[in-house]
Amino acid sequence: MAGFWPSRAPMHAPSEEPMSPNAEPDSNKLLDDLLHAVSTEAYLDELPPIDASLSSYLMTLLNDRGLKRSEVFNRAGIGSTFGYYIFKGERGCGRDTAIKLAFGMGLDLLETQRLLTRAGQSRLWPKSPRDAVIIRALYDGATREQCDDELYELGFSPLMDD
Amino acid sequence: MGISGQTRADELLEEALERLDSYEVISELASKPGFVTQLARPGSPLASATAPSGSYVVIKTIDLQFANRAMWERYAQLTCAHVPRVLDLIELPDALAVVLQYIPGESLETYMARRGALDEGTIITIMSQLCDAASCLANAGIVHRDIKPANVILGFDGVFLIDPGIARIATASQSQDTTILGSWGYAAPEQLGFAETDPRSDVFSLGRVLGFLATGLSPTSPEFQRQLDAPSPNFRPWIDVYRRACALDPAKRPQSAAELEQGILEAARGGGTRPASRMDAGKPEDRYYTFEVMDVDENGVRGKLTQLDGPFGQDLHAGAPTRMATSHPAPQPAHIAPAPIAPPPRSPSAPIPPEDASAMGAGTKIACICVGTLAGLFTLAFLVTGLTGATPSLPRWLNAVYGLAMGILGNLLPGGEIICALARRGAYSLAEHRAKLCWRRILIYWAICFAILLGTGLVNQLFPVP
Repeated sequence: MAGFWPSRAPMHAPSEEPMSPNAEPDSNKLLDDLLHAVSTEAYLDELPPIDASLSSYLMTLLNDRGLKRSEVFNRAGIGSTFGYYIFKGERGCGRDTAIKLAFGMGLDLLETQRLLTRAGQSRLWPKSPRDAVIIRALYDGATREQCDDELYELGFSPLMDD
Repeated sequence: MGISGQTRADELLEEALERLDSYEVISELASKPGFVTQLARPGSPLASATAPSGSYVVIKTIDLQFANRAMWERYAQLTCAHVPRVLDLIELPDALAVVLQYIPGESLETYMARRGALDEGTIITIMSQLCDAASCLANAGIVHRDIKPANVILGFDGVFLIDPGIARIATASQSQDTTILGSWGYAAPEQLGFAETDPRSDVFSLGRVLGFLATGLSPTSPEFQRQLDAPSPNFRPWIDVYRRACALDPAKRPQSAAELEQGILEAARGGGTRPASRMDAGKPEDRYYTFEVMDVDENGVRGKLTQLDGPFGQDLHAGAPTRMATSHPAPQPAHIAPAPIAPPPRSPSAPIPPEDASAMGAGTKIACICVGTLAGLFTLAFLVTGLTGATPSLPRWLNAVYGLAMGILGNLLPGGEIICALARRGAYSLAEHRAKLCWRRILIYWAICFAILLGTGLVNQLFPVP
């Protein structure tokens, strides 16, 4: 599997992103804050407002990256009408659709995991062989088509079948 | 659904999203169920093809249940001097997105809140241009249905009637409107569902606006009702026009906005004259600007124009006035058939204000040429002086540099400032604009010249040539 597509970064676990003023607080840090808080109320008082909806997260990513929805749908292999309603928040999406959107928007692994959580889907799990292929593809910055090719060659169902 | 299963609807939506996402949303101006209004700017060449380069736009997203596509298509054909242009109509599966010109300035509502009742000249200015806008809509068969001070913007190019969100196409076959909408206090009685609205409904609303301008009072207030029985001296000249325009029976009103305007002009003491439209006034090249309304009088809207730095300027939600506009007519988008652009109307009897930059076209050019020539000649003279040895104790090349620097700082740069100020036609009060921008920098240039001169003198004193 190594060398199928050029690696974007040396092999190491994704580290915590440094927090910028507009970045979403890291869940691990929030968990740490919660467990070390004097009380739950104190933690909730300090918790910044976070819009946890899928559509708002998608629109934020879209605006931050200066992407157009039509480009995202094309790269993700999603129908425009379907994608439009997902972005509007009037339709949910399945796990593979959410992963396709991640490829369409060029998200990294951390952002993809957040996207899956907001979509109400389970996160990518390295112990699952299929997920491992997808994780590696996201980490290496592969396209959806490249990921699908690898999944197909290794005998897993490609994302495009969703 | 995979991309290979893309339907025709998907392709159309893809194209629509491509156009819509080519605008960069800056902020949300208003939001109510079914209607979202956002301020945006072209974020890509695709958007710039429909919007004038560097201009802000308004994107109104209207839920399909409220969107009147036929009305908007007609509205998009308009080339009225006092109605914002439609730059694009984008159909979405559940909404219609209308991209409009954004008008910089102040709403009539907020202007009246700080001014109170207006004088005759100001009333004529505002009502003439509003009646112009309403007439233009009526000629296209459109009834605005929501004419009120909050939907009137006092801008650099004059008075604009905005937000035809509930406008409809007048049809003779209907006995009443299908949707009961409008603003309380300004909506004609037939908008409550008794009969169909037509352009005379807009005349009613214009009459209410006239009453508001003349009294400074909301038409729904008890004080305004008392004015109808005992009009104040400011309202008295307009009371008959008002009563006629606001007659319950549409047949007893002026039958058009143009007729109402005529009545207003006749009611003015000594007979009013229609003020000149400012559509042909000079406009700034850089279309990113804010316009702070100072006053409205018989000559039009006076205000302070501030050009913003760079193509994207400052964010408007950083405390700047609420609206912005383009200053040139926008090219029609390709998918809406272009309409011929009519020249703006101008009364031949209306005098051109002396400070109107558009009246200084030829003179401005001659002045620019003279100033430029003089500045160039003086710069050359300084250079020659430097070459001949202004400071004998220094090498010739250094003297030449000194002469050139003095020439540029003392003549060329100040001359350039004057030329730019003459050529820039941003502010209504050109003298004020020119004074503000020109002299501060010129004084700085001359101060630097003086400092260099002092330094030269010092060098000559300290190192005299034997």
